[in-house]
Order: sequence, then structure tokens, then C-alpha cells
Amino acid sequence: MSNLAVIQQLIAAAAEVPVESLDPTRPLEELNVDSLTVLEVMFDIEDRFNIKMPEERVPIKTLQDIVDLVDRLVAQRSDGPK
Amino acid sequence: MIPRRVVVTGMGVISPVGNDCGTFFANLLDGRSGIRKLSAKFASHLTADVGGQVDYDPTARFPRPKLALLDRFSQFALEAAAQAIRDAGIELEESLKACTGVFVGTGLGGASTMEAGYEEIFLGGKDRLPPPTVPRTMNNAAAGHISIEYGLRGPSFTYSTACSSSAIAIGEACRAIRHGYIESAIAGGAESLLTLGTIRAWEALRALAVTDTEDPAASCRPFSKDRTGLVLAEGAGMLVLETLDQALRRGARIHAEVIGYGAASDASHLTRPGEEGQVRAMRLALADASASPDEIDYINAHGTGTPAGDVIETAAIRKAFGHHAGHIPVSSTKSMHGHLMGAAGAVEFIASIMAIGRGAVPPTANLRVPDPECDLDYVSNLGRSGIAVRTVMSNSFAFGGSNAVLIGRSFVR
Repeated sequence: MSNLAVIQQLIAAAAEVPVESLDPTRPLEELNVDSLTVLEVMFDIEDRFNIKMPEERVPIKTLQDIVDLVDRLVAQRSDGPK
Repeated sequence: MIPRRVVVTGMGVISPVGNDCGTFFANLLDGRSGIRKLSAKFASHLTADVGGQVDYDPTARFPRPKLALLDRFSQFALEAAAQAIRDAGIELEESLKACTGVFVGTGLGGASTMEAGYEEIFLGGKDRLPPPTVPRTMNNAAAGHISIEYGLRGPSFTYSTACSSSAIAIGEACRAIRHGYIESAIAGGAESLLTLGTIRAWEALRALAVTDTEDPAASCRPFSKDRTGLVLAEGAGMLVLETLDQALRRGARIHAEVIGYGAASDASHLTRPGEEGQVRAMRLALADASASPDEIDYINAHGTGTPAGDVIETAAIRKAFGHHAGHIPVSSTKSMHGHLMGAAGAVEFIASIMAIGRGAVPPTANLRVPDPECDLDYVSNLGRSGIAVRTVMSNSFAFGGSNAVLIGRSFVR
């Protein structure tokens, strides 16, 4: 399953919205996903992908922004020292 | 401006003796106690292992994303508010929403969320908490949720004065309406603090009742010589309050008019009740109501069941009512629903108002042994029906010395 699909599933479960409604290009507020839910899902994502969100604020506007961040952090995790 | 008259047009209750007003009052009138052994797993560690628990399934009422933001106390508040608004049959159109306030009393706010958080950090070694922890635990969460749920854009207040919190919330809401700051309000209280830490803290105060092992439901015995203390409980009570004019204009059913509110501090001791402060609060409420002591047909006492508290309240009632004291039925419904702390004032005022509507007063349950120091008519053990109840007084006397008294009267067109 692609990282996008995993993240869509996590958000769909937390926000109780259908997975199909989570268009990765649209702003998150437009998808009926509350900001507190997004915060919560970020922690689930950390656990799921075994990554740590950076201290500095990364601008997240769309689902695709989250996927891009996760892709980057997963790649760093693989390249970095164990 | 001329002070406006304030009426109660809607009521809602979530309690250990029922999750709707009808069931609540019927159980009280029948002397049926909802106090029982605590069902939580941690209860086996406790000395004080009885409480007034609410029986209800949150998942049936709230979808998961919403539940994630709601501590149990806020869930109760929303449930009670929903009942009250349905009961009032009020049409919350935009101009009214702009001048409807929310007044909530609570002692500990999101206690169970707070405690779960401590467990995760200190016992679970976690280095972060669920993001909604702050908005769930904050004392004003319930008021915030009610305001959001119904689009109420008037001022929102949360009063935290321990056992008198929701009596004060209701009193202050009435004042705000009376003096034209708002047109209507949702007012009451909510509490859910039956957590291990909270109960341990209360055990340490040595104020909790000794569990009656033969009959746990009878553990709370206000005014009885064999009383041993209070029983903690959870729940919520909410009222819809509006101006008399507005209620009449929309043809609302009026449960009662709130005619008096008195509040005064003991200024003496942090936990021990003071007689003078209680007397003053009752006198202030009577003065506010322009009512004389002999007009009161029923007093819902604070009556927690502590050895000292019940004697002091009895003396205070005698002082405030003079020779009328012996003729007024006085009962403590805490004997059956327990001490709802921040929600007590609201839930007990609702019981008092329902006494008006039903022409019946609930008893003080478990009053088996008369105490010579507590010598009023406590309506022992059996509710009394078929009596004229026109004006009622509800007492809430709290730690910190905060005393609040509300007076309600039947409204006849």
C-alpha cells in the first residue's frame, strides 16, 4: 500500500469520513477534517512509519503535503545511521 | 431599566437516579437510591468504594471524532443541555442566539482526562499526550461545547466554587437576564470526577461515608444519627432560562419562575461550614424574592451527610426561618443521588422545581436514627405527595465557604 493510501486510511478512521472523500490536492479544512484530528493523526503517522515529525513547523495545507513530508522522513530514516 | 422576571422553560438531567427528568424525580419521590459499589477496576483498592455513577453509553450518542474532544463531564453537560432545549421547545433563531449566554458550574472539569494524562506520562513513560488533552480538561470545556453545539453567541461563563458551582451559575444567569445583559441562557452544571486520584484525595479528608456493606445504596444518610459522610457522584443538570415576556410571547410551558438568589461567603474556614454565611445566603435569597420565611413550602437542603455539616445547616435553617423552621419539609436528595459536586446545585434545583410541578416532595432516604441535634421535618424515608408546593428553596454550601441559595416559585398566568 502506498504511503498516501495508509495516511488516507488513518485520517478516514479518525475523522469518520469516507476514504474516497480525501482528495490529496484539496486543503484539509475543505475535507471536513478538524485541525485537532489532524494533530492526533500526525502522532499515529509517527508510530506507523517509525518517524519523528520535525521540531520546526512544516507548512501543511493539503494531504499531499503530509505525504511528501512522510516520504522525506522515511527516506532520511533509511539513509541515516541505525 | 426595570428588572425583568426570569423563568425556567426547560430542564435536563443526567444522574445516578435517571437520565431524564421524569425518571429522576420518580426515583427520588419513591426514595430509591442510585448509590452503589463503584464499577471501575480500581475500586477494589479503595476504602470508599461507593458512588453515584451515571449509567450511559457515550458511543451511542456521540460519533468518534466528537467523542475524542469530550471529557465525560462535557458529555454529561451536552446531554443535559440537549434535553433542556428539547423540553423548552425553544426556536433558537439567529437574533436570540446572539443574546443567549451559557453559564456552567463545575468543580474539577475534565478530571478523568487529566488523570489519564498523568497515568500516561508518569506511569506509562510516554513523552507526549493526546492533542485534545488541554481542551478536554479545561474547566470551561462544557460551556464551550454547549455554545458551539447550539450556536450561542452570548457570553459564556464557567463558575468553579466547589459544591455551589452550579447554583451560582444559575443565580448569575438569572441576574444577567434580569438586568438585561442577555435575553436567555443555558445554565447549570456538570461533574465527572469518580477517578482513583480524586477519590483518594477525598478519602484523605475523612469526609466520605463508610460503605454500608449490607446495603451500599444506603451509605449516604443525611441528618441521621448514624451518618458517616458524603458519597461522591457524577452527572449534570441544565436549565433553559428566559425572560417571562419571551416565554409568554412564544407560548412556552413555564416550569417555574426563579424569584430569588442569595450568595454569601463564610469567610471562616476552608472546609468547615459556617452557620452565619449560610443564614445570610438564605436571608439574601428571601429578600431578593421579596418572600417571607413562611412562604417557603419545601427546602432542598445541602445535606451532604457529614456529621458536622448537617448540624450546622439545621441550625442555620432554624436561624433563618425562626419558628417557621419546624413546619417546613426539608429533605436532602443527596441521600439518593449522592453529592454531584459542581453539578449538585443544578440537579437539586431541578428536583425542587419538579416538586412544584408534581405537588410532591422527595424524602431524605436512609434516615433510620433520629439525631437530637437535627430536629427538623426531614421527610424521612417516604416521599410526600398531594401537597401544595408553590415556593421552594434550594441550598448549596461549599468548601471555601461559598454559599448559594435559589428560590423558585410556580408561575400561574
